[in-house]
Amino acid sequence: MNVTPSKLIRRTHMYLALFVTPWMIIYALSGLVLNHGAWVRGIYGAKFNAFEQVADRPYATVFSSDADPRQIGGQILDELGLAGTFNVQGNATSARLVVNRNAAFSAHRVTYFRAENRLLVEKQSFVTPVFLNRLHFRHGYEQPFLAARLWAVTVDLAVVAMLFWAVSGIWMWWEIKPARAWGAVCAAAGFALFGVLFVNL
Amino acid sequence: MKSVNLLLRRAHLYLGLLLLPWMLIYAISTVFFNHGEHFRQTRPADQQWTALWEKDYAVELPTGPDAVRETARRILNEQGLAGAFGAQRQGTRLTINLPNFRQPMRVIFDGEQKKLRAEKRPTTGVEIFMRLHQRVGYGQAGGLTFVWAFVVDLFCVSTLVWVATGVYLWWKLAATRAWGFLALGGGVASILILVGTL
Repeated sequence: MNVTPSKLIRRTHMYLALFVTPWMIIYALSGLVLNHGAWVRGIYGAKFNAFEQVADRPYATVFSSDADPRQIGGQILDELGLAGTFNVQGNATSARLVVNRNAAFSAHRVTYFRAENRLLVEKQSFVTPVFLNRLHFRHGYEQPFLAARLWAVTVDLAVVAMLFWAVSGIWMWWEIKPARAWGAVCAAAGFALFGVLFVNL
Repeated sequence: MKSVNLLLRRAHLYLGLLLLPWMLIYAISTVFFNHGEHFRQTRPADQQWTALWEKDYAVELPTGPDAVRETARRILNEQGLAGAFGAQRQGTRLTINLPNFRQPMRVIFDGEQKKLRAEKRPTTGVEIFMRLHQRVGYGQAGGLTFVWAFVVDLFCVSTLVWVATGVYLWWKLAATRAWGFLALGGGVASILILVGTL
């Protein structure tokens, strides 16, 4: 099989794109949601980002005053069967510690009332635009969960793909002689527009 | 059929060339978001705001979100400052943030001292990329702000066009179908597993 550099670049451009297709669809749809945020929120009304109470239950565990808030949050989520990516608002001695557990399809907000030994568990109802945005915003290697780290790897892969599409796209454009003139016009127009917006905004 | 093929190929190519700057911006800035633990260290140690100018000024402090925004708009117009902004009032202090790409600044009206002060803060290339990535929406006045939001829409729609035309062009290449199925199927399976376990 004769594999020329040109063919290798074309095939890599295509196969990389086919693999990251689901991510690009999510980023594109979520981008539209973010760009029309007020309109989208208007469609869903109060349901957008709303949390509903799932449980209000006693929680007898006592934490020492020097316990790490993330450790407390992780333990509470484990006991609720909600282990996974989360962040915590409040410190170890706060009367109220809020643990936000962001899964892909759902988000839970668990409020730990230390003095009352009580947990309030709330769940965000599924709303498609919020689901898309949660996936769009998900990034980083700072959470100690395998799925979250693998997701971060796929984010890096999407970056590599976008940079490769840009470079290989220029290569392929230059190879197509009939497309050179209009391609140059498009690229020049794009960079000129970007320059004007970057300087003035 | 050949002309349809050519049309889709050219649309795929020309949209890519037109939106090349945005493709690069979104790709590079995503590196900074995804590896924040490294890039946060590049922020200047001194994040203090420094004064650009200060002048005597008088305006009635607004009440309510709409009035806050309207007063902020009037102040900016009077000072010859344009662009997207956010405003907030805390007590007798009205703060107007202008998240310009290259040099963010803020204008503060101090209702007690009747002073209007403009300030800027040191910024970095990383922060500029992040601001470019995060700028969305049509909610702000100004023709260029509208154009930016329109380009964001164009980029999103173009991404869907690249996907659709890319899948079509792949399907037309019979020799690549098997590996293409593997790539597309691998991507779909990966995201389903990840979304189910996140």
